[in-house]
Amino acid sequence: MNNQSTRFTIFVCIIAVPVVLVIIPIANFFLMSFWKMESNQIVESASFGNYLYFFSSPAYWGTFLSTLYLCLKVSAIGVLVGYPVAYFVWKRKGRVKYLLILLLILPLFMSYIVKIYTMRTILDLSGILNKLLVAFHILEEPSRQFIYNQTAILITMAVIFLPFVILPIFLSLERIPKNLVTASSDLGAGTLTTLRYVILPLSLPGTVSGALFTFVLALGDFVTPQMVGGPNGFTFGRVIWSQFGLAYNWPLGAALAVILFATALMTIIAAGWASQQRKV
Amino acid sequence: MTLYLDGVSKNYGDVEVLRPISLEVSNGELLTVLGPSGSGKTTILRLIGGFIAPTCGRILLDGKDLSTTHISKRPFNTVFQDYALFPHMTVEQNVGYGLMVKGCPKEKMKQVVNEALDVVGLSDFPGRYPAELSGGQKQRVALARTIVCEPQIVLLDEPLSALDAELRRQMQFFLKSLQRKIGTTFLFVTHDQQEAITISDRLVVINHGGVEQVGTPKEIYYSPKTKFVAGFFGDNNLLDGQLTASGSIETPLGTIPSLQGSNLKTSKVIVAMRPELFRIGKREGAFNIDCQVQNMDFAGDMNFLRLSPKLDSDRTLLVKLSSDPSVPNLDVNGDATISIKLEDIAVLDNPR
Amino acid sequence: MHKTNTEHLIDVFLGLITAGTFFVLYMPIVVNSIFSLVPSDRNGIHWGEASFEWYWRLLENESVIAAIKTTLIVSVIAVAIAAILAIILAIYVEWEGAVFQRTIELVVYTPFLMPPIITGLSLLMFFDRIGISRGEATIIVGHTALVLAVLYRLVLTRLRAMPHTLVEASADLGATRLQTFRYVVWPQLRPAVITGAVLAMAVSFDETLITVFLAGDTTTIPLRLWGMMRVGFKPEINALVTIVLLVSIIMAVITAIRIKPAEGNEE
Ligand SMILES: Nc1ncnc2c1ncn2[C@@H]1O[C@H](COP(=O)(O)OP(=O)(O)O)[C@@H](O)[C@H]1O
Ligand SMILES: [Mg+2]
Repeated sequence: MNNQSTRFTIFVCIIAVPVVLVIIPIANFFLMSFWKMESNQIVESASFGNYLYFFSSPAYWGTFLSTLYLCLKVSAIGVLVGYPVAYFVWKRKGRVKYLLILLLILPLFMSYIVKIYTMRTILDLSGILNKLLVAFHILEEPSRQFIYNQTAILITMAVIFLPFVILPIFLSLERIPKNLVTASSDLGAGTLTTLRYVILPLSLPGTVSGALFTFVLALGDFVTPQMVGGPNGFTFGRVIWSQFGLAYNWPLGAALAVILFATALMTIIAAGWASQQRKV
Repeated sequence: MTLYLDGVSKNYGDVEVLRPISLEVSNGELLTVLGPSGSGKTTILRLIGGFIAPTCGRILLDGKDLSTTHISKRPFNTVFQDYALFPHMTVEQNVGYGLMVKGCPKEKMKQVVNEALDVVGLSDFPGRYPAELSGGQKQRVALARTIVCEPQIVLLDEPLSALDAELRRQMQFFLKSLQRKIGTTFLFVTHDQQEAITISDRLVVINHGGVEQVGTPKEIYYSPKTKFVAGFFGDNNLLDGQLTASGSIETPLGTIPSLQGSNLKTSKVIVAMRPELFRIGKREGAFNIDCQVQNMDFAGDMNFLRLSPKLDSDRTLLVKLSSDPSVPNLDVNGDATISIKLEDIAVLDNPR
Repeated sequence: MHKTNTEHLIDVFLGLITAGTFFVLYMPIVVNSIFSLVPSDRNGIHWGEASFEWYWRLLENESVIAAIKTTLIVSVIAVAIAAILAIILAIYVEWEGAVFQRTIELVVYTPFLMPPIITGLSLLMFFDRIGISRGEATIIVGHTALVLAVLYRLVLTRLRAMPHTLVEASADLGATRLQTFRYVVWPQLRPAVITGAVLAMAVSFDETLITVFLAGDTTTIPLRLWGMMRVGFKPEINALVTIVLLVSIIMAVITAIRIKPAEGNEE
């Protein structure tokens, strides 16, 4: 029996699939990021031209920075709203708790495109948001400030990605042993004290990693800016996307994607590190 | 059938979990491998079963090397410590599994399975799932599952350790009688000395991955060959001794006259005296020890007597006396002399 | 348990935030379903004219039907391939003591962790480089890479929960490797694979950001919807949207029901 070489062959076959599906394509676009476009033709000559171009044109790195800021705000809103909600649901008991969390993550399963589209109809000049605001006399008349700009992108992303923040927070709350909470109130701590000194610290790692993953999701999104951002709503994802569409500059797109990749990778590593800090 | 382990050892990386051992397992016996937890018992079973390969040495079945024989082709079957019953199969399907995978016809299979269930006393619920069985019943299913394969050796890895004391005793008896009935060789692993002594024809005591002693339960119990074996069974009284030129042994509790039949290799020796072999009172031709009584505990069928010898009062000797109501109680703090017959004293080498 | 006044206030406050969240999350869905049944235009909503008319119109729309077909074909094939790969990979990693185990896992999870745009454009450039033109096949590859992570995770979790002695017992009783897989391992994995497949289907049905890079002239339901929405408002869209939502909710509920008892059992 040639056990050793049989095993090696099996190993190679199994590894081949993820390698072909993931590693080679990624290596390929890293390589292509050093090439350039000349009269609508991709020229295979290595240089840092695309990267230099990115760093020397404020339009590009400006968009990159403002996108980072936008995604940060999306994550922050997610945590600010998501934490209280996750906490509230976690405090419920039995079936109610399970049902509520289920309903909160159910929207994740619903068509992404459709959610963006409905957000657009809601935020539009004749949308429900404006109708409500006018009805409650908060606005004199319907306003365009909620649609086809960066605000629209922020609101839409915040709504769409909210369940992605709630779920990890809820799961990290669930991991806290109930007797810790009981022990704390046994020792005379009120709800707020327990929250401050027991629950918050213990659920922090999960919360941070949840927020960071949402950050990555928002970072790569290009459909939301395209649909609700209008002509001014450019984000880094949308800029990359356009290099593969009308702008047609794959090498530049690849270079920008490498920058996106690096940013996402660092964020994911940070998230991984955060979730390892958990003590329960 | 003879199974022979020829200098078999096992290393994990640099750690030698089993030192080279040679062992013969002969037909129809119930051989027990006994040792404390972590001593390498499971490793021995897994080597024989073919789940792991030896680092050195060979395993021979009737002279044929088994090293290239896959688990599924070895004529041994294992009863696992956690039973390893297939949770999605009924009792009947579990028991028939070995026949099913070998393509046995349905009719024949049903008949053999029923017979096996009969033997283990489980013919009432062939349709149950493992989750619906008690520990003892699972155990029986696991046994039935192996015996339908008609193995030459059944390997049992601490099969009773998950059961409570009462059930354990029943199962020990059951296992032994089952083994007698079907006449198959059983290789049984346990860390429980009592269990090992009760059910085995022969015992292999191992410690730290090496064999300490092989023998019948009586040999192991009354004539331990190493300090570990002497100390492993019950509450043996152990003394350090010094062999003199005349053949007698100096101990802190006095001199023991020369013993017959002992072939000692070192001058430093260990003297082992079983607590149940002492009698109260001086006797001619025996080893007598003057003591003060510390306490006496009544334990139903036994009296446990603790005494401190006059010659070495920091030491405590334990004596077990069968509780005979006519024997008067000894006074605590009173004097007593205990005696043990010279042939009941075990003396063994103390290499260190 | 007694609750003090402050605790009550906090509870009420948090409850309000939660209610608000539900409102925000579910409003889009409710709005949509209403508009798919009730016609509306610049003059307002015509409640009286509610009908299923737009659903019937949809059936006559050939490009929509084609998109539905593509979506189904793509997801069934991608999920099937990914399931087989996931089982092999998980068994290999867990039992065979695979070399580079961590690395393999990292690679499998990459398409799921990285922004989809990375997976999309890297595969696009890769296929372009080796001269494969875009179409159903390339979408299938992209979806396989994506859902492999989901299936792998679920299969691996199930595999870890299964005592390895079951496999040893099977071999011990004389079964070949294939028999052991068929009679012992597969029955144990089946529930996890089915759950994973449903989840993966839901992901695949909805996948947009990778698909758009790999589709070429082919369209799937999300791409078709995106196209229709770019053109402008049509009640037809709402009808399609409602169907899509219904299907995804059903899948989500199936997954939830299947995962729940499993959670209860794993102490
Ligand atoms: N796969 C393994 N890798 C490394 N060490 C092992 C492995 N299996 C067992 N050991 C070690 O070998 C020793 C003997 O184990 P085992 O045979 O299971 O003992 P026992 O069954 O007597 O309790 C233990 O110290 C254990 O830690
Ligand atoms: Mg063991």
